[in-house]
Amino acid sequence: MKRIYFFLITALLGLIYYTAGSPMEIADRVMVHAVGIDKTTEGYSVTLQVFSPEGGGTEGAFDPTRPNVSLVAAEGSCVSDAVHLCEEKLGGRVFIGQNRIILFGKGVDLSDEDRLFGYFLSSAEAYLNTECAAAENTARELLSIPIPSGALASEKFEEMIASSKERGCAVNCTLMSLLEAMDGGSPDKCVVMPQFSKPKSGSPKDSGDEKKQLTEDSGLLLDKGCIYMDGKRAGELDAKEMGLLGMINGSGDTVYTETEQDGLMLGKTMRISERAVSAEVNGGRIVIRVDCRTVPKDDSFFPDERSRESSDRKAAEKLTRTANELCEKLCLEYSPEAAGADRALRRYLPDLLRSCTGGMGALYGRIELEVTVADRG
Amino acid sequence: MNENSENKRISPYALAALLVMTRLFALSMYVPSRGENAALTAVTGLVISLLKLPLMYGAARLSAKAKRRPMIYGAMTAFAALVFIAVCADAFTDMLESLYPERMTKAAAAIVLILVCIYTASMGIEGTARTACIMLGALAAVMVPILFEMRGSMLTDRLDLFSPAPIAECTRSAGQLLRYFFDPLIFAVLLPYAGGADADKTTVSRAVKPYLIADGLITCVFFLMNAAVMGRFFGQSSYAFFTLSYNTHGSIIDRANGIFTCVSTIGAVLTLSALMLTARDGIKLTGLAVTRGRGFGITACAALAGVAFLAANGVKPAASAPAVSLVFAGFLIAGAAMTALGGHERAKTA
Amino acid sequence: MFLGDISAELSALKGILGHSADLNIARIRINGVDCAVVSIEAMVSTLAMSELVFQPLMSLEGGDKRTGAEIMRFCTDESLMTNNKVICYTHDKAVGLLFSGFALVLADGVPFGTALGIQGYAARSVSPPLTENELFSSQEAFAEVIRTNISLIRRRIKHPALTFEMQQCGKRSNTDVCIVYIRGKADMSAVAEIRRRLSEIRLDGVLGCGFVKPFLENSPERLIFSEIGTTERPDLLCLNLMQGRIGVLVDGTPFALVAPYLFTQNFETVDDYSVGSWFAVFVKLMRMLAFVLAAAFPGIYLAAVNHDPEMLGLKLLLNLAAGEKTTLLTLFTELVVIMLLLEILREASIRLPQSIGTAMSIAGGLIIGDTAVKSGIISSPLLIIVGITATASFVLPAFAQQITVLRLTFIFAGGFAGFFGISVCAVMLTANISAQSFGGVPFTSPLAPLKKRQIAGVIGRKDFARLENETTTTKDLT
Repeated sequence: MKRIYFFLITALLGLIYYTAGSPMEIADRVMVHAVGIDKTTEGYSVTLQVFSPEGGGTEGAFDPTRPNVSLVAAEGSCVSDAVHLCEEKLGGRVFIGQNRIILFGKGVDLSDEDRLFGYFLSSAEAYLNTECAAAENTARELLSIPIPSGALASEKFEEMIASSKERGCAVNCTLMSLLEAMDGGSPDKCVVMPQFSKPKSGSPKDSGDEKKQLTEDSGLLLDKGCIYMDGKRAGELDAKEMGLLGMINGSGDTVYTETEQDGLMLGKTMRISERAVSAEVNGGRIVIRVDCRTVPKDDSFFPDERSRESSDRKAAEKLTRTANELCEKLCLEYSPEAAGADRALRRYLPDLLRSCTGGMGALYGRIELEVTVADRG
Repeated sequence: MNENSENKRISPYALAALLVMTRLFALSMYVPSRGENAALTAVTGLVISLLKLPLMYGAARLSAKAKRRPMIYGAMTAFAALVFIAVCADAFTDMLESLYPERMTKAAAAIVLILVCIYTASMGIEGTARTACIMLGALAAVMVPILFEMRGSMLTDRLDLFSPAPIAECTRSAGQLLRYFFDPLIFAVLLPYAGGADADKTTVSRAVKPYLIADGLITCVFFLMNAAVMGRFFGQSSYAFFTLSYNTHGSIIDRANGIFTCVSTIGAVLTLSALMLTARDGIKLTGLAVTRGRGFGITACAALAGVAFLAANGVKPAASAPAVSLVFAGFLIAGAAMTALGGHERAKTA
Repeated sequence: MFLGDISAELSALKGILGHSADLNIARIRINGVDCAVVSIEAMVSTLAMSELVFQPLMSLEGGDKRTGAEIMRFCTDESLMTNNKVICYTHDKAVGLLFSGFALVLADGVPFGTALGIQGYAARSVSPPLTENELFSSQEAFAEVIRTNISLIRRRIKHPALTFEMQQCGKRSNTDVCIVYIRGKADMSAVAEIRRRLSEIRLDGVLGCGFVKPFLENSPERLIFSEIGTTERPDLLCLNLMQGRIGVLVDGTPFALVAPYLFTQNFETVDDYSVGSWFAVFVKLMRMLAFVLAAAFPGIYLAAVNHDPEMLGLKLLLNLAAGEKTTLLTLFTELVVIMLLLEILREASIRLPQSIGTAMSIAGGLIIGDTAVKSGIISSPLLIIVGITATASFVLPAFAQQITVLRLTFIFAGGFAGFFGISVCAVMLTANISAQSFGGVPFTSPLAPLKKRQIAGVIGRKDFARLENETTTTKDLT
């Protein structure tokens, strides 16, 4: 075919453009980079942190020393309705593709999937690995905290989760893992999320003194994890427990512990270099074993090799002990699903699972979790 | 030197590359069933890849004696290719419309798609096969780093072969995997271009082996990645290929769904072009004297008319894909058997 | 045919040339024999004419009595007036030689003329290349005179197998066209095919290689990239000749055509052989990247920003969104407008006299670029895109035409249909390129069909140790 047809067919792509409904330009989009969802009596209240460039003119697009955010909130019977009401207030089309975090307020029932997650799943723009976190009280309260550093306030949430996780003091929960927990066929729908809260004292004063604000902290605290069962908040875990949970269920790469050295308590972040899971039936009990090997992430100065080995061994022993305590707590108060028992059953004992008439939930009562942590030696 | 000779050859590896592109297209159209276990689907896919081996050797046997292909073979080939064109065009434009509801209309996309495929097919088997080779290399170079960057979202604990009813689930997965099962048909018709009229065993194995290895590898990687990233949620996703893309987070490109659209589109164009070449060859075998351009024109018009007719009567061509695939796979097996037994044929030159 | 009557011959020549004002006839009597020296004004060297023609002829005057035939024999056999002597029996041939800078000696009673090659027309000397600059390679480029170009090639390949075949093209221009190849390396069927295609050119005038090129291409109406290459460097042409390719020189143009020319060859330069092979790999990959950036980057950018903005990082996207909020036009319109402006600037810079080139740079850069951003007509991130695209397009001057058109094509494709549009455009373009071949050599060789031994030459440069032991011809690419 002649060359002209190449150009004609390309020009015919205009047919797609001009027959389409409402093509959106980038300037018409409202960039959302944080979403907060709170439960109301009639449905949900959605708070959106949107990008609102302050200053800069046309030389630079926006001034990176300012927060460049504004908040908009609306209520609706579902998240989708609330977001559309927000769009009406903003006068533009919400773009959820670069959303950094979804915060869930205290009363939100995560098992209400259609009304809660329908909006995110219906959009081809949504990032399914968006971080999800719980707010101690309301999500709106947390999103309203002015975060002076950086151009994008929502990045603070991500950065705090990432740095806590790196230190072994938190687990992260993405939208994908949340959806999998809620809709993946596991009986208890158990999921653990990091929990943000406002510090009780030391919140940034409204003095209008920018310099002073810049030297203060972000006004957010991440020191707990929230455990959900069947979509509802069931309890809390502290920072160390979250790190241990990450080690047990495989979602974390590091774990934090404290060991005594020369009469002093030293904090150590250990990197999980190996992790092996096995499951077997032993005298009517289902024993799920998690064997880990850890190496210190930041090696402290030791006078000799023996001191280093002793420190590593103590850390491993402490981790073993605390991990098993956590496992016991999970099995008694919550669900072994938080530790990945459902995955272990499917993978290692499929015949047992298939033969059990009551389904996976009936087996949970028989599960024992055993964790062994070895040092690098 | 006759630059427009119809008898020019392509390398068997180029034919394999073209078939790999058709598999990429098929995978991008994959819609899992509710509760499906992606790891189990990976195993099913591997088994199907192995089962293709005798089928493709049988198809090769059928096409080997090009001079003796009967008119009925030509008619069936053309009809099969037309049906598959309708099925693929319908499915692909459905997918585009669902991904970009505000920016795509199905009719406009279908018209453009068919015209693009006519243009590509008009470049001949050499143009189409070489395009497949080049595009495969380019797509591999782009996709491998993207998939590598997804390792942060993967959790190997999610990989398990558990299913409450494994046989039923495997059967269901197999049905889905066989939705676009036209590789043996394309292979049978286009093999003479790779090996001449009498394709020998070396030529056939040079085309079949790399294709089946690539097919198995791509199927495995795709479904296992889905399992590791999405776990049990895989079964809730429509177009698993694109749902996987919504999990990507790269260092240069943040979300790679545009790249995934490119992969799917390129696969679709090359697949439809290969089917158009197949249909054209089939039409020629029936004895109708058609020029190259007219052959493609007839093919495209017939396919579009078919889709429009079926759509007007409430029949979605895409929905009939598995049945159509199996019918024509059966035809190929029967044809290969007939050729092997020296069945009733009329001498006809291609 | 010459009949021997000098007056009649001169009248016939005047008649053929239409009494043209540039026809010079010098009539003299040598020992009683009427003779004439005919030439075209400014085509012959006056000094050479007087020293090599007039002086020897005048030396016969006053000597032994000679007939016209003896005078002519003196010119042809008994003297070394020039090294290029042609005997003409017909007026047509004589006229052709006159137009090629020959001086025609006629004698009364002699039924032929002797044409002596004493070219002295004004011609540009060998100068550095304008479009294919290199750092470590020769600074000579082809000139307009075909003979000069032949000598440039012969100086570099001192082997008897190097063959030049001259023929004329153009019904009225009778332009000299030379096919050059190395016997034993070039595919003789391809040489024969080129010879045939050149002889079938029915144009009135062949004024440059651009007039010849479409006749050598297969299906020129289909091509976006030509399988016939163009070069102004003699060293690059010699490199191609040694790889078994065929060159075509056209008188009056400082470019040579090369056939068959592969797509990947457009990324090759002679400097690749002057640097380390490791660096050659890097530079070649940069050129390939530059091609993609120049042709497809604006379209991909438009597709990403308008159709799939989640592909861009958050900070970049926020910058773009903030920038676009203040502009008057949509992003698509901005991109088309700025690309058209870029092409206008580029075209103007080619045609401009050098003296006001600086003023144009200031006008283009400051007035159009900077002021347009300040006034909100275009956004500043877009200027970066345009800058990258423009810079990348200068890396490959051979692709200037294609890049210009393809850039706009990809912009339309990406703007209208996002990555679907980009993909279909890319597939159609690749199919178009893949379907081409010349002399049985596919245009996309050695990528498709894959030739493992030649791939090293595509992504870099083969080591000289390998080049020593290998002899490459175009047959290795089929």
